[in-house]
Amino acid sequence: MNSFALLLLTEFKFQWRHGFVAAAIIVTLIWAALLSLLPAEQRPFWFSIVASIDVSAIGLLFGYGLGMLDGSQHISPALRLTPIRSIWLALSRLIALSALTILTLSLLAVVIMPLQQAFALFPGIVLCAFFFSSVGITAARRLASINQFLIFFALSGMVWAVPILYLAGLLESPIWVMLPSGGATALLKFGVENTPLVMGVIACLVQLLWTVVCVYFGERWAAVNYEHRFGGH
Amino acid sequence: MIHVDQLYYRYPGQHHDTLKGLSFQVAPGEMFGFLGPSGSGKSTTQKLLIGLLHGHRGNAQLFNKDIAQWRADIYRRIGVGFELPNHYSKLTALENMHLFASLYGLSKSQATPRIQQLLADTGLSDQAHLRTEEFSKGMKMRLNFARALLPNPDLLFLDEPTSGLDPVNASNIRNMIRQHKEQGKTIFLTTHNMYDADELCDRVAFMVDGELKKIDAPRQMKKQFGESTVTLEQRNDAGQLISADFPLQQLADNPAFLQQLARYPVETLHSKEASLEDVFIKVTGAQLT
Repeated sequence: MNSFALLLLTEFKFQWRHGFVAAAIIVTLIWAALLSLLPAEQRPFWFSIVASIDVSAIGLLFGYGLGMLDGSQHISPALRLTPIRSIWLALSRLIALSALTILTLSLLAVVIMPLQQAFALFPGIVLCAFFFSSVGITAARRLASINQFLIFFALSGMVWAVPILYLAGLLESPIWVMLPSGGATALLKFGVENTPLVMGVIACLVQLLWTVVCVYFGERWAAVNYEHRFGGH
Repeated sequence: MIHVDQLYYRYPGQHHDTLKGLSFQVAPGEMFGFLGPSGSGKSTTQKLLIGLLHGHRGNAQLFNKDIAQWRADIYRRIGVGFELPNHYSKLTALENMHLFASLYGLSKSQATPRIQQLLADTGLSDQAHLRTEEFSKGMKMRLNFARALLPNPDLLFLDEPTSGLDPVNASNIRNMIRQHKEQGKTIFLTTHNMYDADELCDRVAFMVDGELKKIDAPRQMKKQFGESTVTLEQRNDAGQLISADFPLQQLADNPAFLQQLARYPVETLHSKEASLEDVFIKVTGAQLT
């Protein structure tokens, strides 16, 4: 098994044994119970709202929480004194955390609505999961204390909330797609409605771009916040 | 192995240098001790040498190459033992070791026997499948040491390797360090524990306030700064303890010593060599705390 595969496996174990998986499952079961009370025709719409909120909360809180656990176990200096570059550490965490969110929400979708409708929401779930996980992981690299994170969480709330308002139909202009989480949220909306493919492609590209931007800044901030190492980060 | 010449370092935002013109060399196969009180600049020097700090002035080389030119592949040639245990607490010792072996680029077929050997050497074979959160500090420190040896490094940096350990565990760690040295490896030991430095090091450097005050072999220093006398303690016929000092030189031919020796039964006989801590205090005027 190569280094990256073992890092990925370690991330899964790390999340499992620290209770992140259990927490995600509990939240999903609660959502499943609540959504199953709704009439079948309303479930896709409310699922898209739930998914956008759930993914953002899990991505931000879990991503940051994992970073805090790294800090409390003083593991980062030991990892940095190996030949592995920090981008691989970040990517392994990003994939593992996104996989957790994608898996739980996909299961939720499959349980509460027909498979075809669930499948239509899948691209939005995937991009949302990757984006918010990357934000949480990046926040852990930038924000040294929980106080800073709480302030960031509160201040950034509006940025995350506006695309959800668009998703809920409270805002009409598709310009909100351009916001950091707008693309993925729009994809969830398009999964519920019958939207032209070109809009879906644009939303997808916008969201991928924001995710890359976020990972890029995570690496930039790692270079500033982490200790130096031979050969760069 | 390590060549440092006129090394200066100032932390960002500070107005004075933390390291002030350090110059020293460490030869291959040598165990070199960096001895000084907390805040003297020992850890800063080590951090520069292992790449965790940058922006130094002066010259510092590892393996005959300037440290600024090294890339991440050097971490396959150096091992670092941290002062504090740092492991994934929810992973077992074996899982921790396999992860790091993989990060050092060892294949599974290379890593498995090496990990088994290192865990056996550190007395952790029976605890290999325990999560490290269940380990005592001594076990975690031994695992730290085992992990530092994973890449079979030519140069090993150890920061306070026996800090906070009970005497038995401290002795175990010292034995493991000696075994590594016996394999011809170079060891750079940072400590304020003068006993470790005295026991383990070929040479020690005394560091105070970012300056090196003296570099020499511990034995040489103790000889230089100790008194060349022996103290003879005897109990006389009245049961009183009497004590007398004699010059160490020509002791066997000293009639006064021989005469005194014959008078009463000997209780104790000690040479008055200085401890390394005594030498440190004399040379630097500082305390090792």
